[in-house]
Amino acid sequence: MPITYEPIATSTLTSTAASVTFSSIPSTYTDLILVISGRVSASVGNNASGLRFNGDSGNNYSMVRLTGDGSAASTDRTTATYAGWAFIANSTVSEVTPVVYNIQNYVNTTTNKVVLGRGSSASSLISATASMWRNTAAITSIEVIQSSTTWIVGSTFTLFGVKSA
Amino acid sequence: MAYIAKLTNEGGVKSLNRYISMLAGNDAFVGAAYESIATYSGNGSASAFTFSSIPTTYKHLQVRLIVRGVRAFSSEQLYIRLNGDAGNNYSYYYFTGNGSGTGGGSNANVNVYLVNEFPAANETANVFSTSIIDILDSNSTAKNSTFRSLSGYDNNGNANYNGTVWFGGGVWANTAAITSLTVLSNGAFATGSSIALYGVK
Repeated sequence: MPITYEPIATSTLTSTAASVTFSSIPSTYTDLILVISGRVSASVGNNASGLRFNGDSGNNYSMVRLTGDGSAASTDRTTATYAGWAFIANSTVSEVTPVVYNIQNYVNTTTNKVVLGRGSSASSLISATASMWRNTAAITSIEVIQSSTTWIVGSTFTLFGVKSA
Repeated sequence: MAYIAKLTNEGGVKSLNRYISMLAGNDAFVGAAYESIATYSGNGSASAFTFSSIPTTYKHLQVRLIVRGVRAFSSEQLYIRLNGDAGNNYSYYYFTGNGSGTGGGSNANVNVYLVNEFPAANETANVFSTSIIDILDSNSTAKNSTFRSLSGYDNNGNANYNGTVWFGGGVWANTAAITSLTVLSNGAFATGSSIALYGVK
């Protein structure tokens, strides 16, 4: 039985970085799963992680988000220069944030690309997001950005590939 | 018991190395824990896809999909049935957000598990919804089977429906092991739709 869920690449930051890029992503998988364990250097505010595909930093992404903060649920949506939008923790807390993005059928050239995201900060928020890249191109690179200044040292980013029959 | 001789790197047969198992002297085979079972693709005419004869060797099942409908509606509903059961044996809760308001609902003793609502032909071209549905402990005969799902899509605010994030959870009131799973809607799935079933050991 062939392996259907396998790591493609992983990166652990040894110095702060504004973004991390996975390039030359093989086209041999069906879905991609990006797992982040990290937080940002900002000391205030609710921060978000983001994804840019194939180097596209244009205003070609849109997303909707559902959030719970322990007392109420809320929802918002936006268009932006990135996809994703799952929450990540800031530097005022000690925990790192687990974020998982599922990028479905990333190789097909028929559909705009869709992403499901989950992210949370144990001290403040939990969020789920659905986002779209308005482009039918196959995804060959992913830049992982954040809404603050940098990812902190020790943040990890792992990209997995899932193959379907 | 016939003995098996292992070839050396030089290609000769070492008479002293005789084994009774083909595994002897080799690394143990470790099977994958997450395996692809089957995949269906939308063709513009089929409104249901059934994964049948699902092996009972898995602990959990996961469906990963992207879908769009072909009928002239803003959205369609996506459902799941197990083991061909169309009786009123499914119950579920869901919680949604569409960018302007949160909502939710539930249904008890109905004939499908509702996964989410997905875009159809009246929505912006090339916009598809995506879902990940887990059916936990699918091979157990000691308890009812449970679903959990996360779905969503965004429509860039261009048309009738902005999009949604949709959490769902439900139960099939049956303790049978799952041997078939049907993904269905009220209308056909568009070309570009892809529905894949995976098994987790």
